[in-house]
Amino acid sequence: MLPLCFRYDGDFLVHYMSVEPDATVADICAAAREYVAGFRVPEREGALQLTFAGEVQPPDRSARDAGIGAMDYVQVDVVGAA
Amino acid sequence: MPKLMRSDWYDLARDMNWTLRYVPHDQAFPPELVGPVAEVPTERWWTWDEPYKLSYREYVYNQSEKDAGVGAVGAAVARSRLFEQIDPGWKGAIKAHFGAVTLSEGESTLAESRMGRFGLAAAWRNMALFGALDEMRHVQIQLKVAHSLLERDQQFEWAHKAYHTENWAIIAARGHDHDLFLCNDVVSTAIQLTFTFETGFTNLQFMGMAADAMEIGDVEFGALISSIQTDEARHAQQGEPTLRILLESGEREYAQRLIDVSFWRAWHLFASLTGPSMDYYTPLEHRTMSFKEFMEEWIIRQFMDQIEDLGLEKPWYWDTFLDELNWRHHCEHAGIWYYRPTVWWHPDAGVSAGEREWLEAKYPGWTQKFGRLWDTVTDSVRNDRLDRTIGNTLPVLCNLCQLPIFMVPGTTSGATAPGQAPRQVDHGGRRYSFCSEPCHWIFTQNPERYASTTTVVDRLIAGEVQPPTPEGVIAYMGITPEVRGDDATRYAWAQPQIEAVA
Repeated sequence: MLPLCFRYDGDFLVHYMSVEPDATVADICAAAREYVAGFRVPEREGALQLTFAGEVQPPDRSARDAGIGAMDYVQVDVVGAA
Repeated sequence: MPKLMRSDWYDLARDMNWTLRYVPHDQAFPPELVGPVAEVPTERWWTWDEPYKLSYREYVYNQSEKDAGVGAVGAAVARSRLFEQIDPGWKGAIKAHFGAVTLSEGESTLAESRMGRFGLAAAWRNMALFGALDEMRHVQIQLKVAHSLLERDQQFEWAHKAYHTENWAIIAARGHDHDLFLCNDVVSTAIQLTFTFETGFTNLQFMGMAADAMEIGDVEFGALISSIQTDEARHAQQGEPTLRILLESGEREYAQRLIDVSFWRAWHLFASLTGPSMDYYTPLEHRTMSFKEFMEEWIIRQFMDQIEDLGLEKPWYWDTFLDELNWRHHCEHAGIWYYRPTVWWHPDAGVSAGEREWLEAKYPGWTQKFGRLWDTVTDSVRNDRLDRTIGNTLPVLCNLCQLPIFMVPGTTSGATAPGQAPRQVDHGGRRYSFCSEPCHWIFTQNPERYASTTTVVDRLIAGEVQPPTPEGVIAYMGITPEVRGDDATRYAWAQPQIEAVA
């Protein structure tokens, strides 16, 4: 499993999550939404965008290909319409 | 029995400063236990002068009077229904206090005892032994009061149990204690425990909470911690003479670093413990000061005046500290409430409409920063979705202070740009994360001192927490179903009719 730090759009707490090593950027975003939206921030429709090391990552890219390693930090934002 | 005035014999009787002949000085006072102060001449330590003189006879007399006073109040309370009438939020405050503080005082006993043996002046050793006796009393008297409440409320068991668990709040408190006084040399302990922590910060916990306790009508707790505070005020005075000698000996930079490290560590601990108690758990009508106002009075004005009078400076991160005063304890409170099944008290959310107004008045911008979280939680409560008001994954914890990492837009926490990461460093093949620049700085000052410590998240990743589920984490932290935390008022604050009345 790959442990990560993340912050979800509108929240102020940095959370921990653990994903499969071959998880995609979209998988990570979906997991982040599951943990935070409706819990700590209102649920909001829209596409999710993951930023890692200052760069927005394509949703179908794997965490490994994006260079995301153990306990790296990613930010997940809600952008645009669904 | 001789009836000489204390001043007639005190200086002579305490003068046990000798030039050793049978063992080298370093063997009797090893540098590992004394501290890196080899440049300070031994005889200079003999000028160490405590501001508060006390004989053993006076000590015993005073302490027995204090114990009798607390005992009398406790006996009266036991015969009454006072405890049942106390606000549920305040009960949470005192249970948090008992768990976090009681056995910490036992660790202070060891630290004081170490100064009682390895302190570099007889007067210092004498005063430290009184300090050790004080701390033993604080453990026992707090256990006695908590034990007397056990049959009314099982959560008081954690006055004794907390420090024997791997609860994350206690891991954070122990980390603080070990750094500042349990695993420390005596010179550093005098400055970090007795000067910074006790002179600076315990005023907050003991004087502030004593005032609130009396206001609320919790006379037993008020009497208890007022009694403790009188001891703290005495033995805390070991710090200043130690500091003076360091400064006279050209060790200013060393002294300043000791203060800078301990001030930050104490600040984070008190922001987590005292901040929520004063600004959320204390009933609104009984709040005498906000946590920030109390910090401004006791820390920013009084303690900093004392530091500057000695010729030292405010810590280098002073602006960061002032900024955190506006937000850190609000984040900690929200975190404690959100993860309430992991704590041994019932935290009061403290966010009814009237309380929110008070928070916004005391902390302009509170609504913008924290209102949305509490709005979301309130909606979940009203929609009967309590499952959505409890964290289902852990927060990332700082590898120095062991408290959660927050990123509050517009603050020094670091969330100033999309994708900006918390402070992290790789050391010895491991990734360390930090909640703040000063925590990162403390780690880099002495990485080997801190590198082997692990947060609950580190332990989860390492497979030490089984099963690796929310229930598994709660069990790992020692929380049992009978004591598991829930909302103090059973969510009364979230009901629309309460809001309309407030």
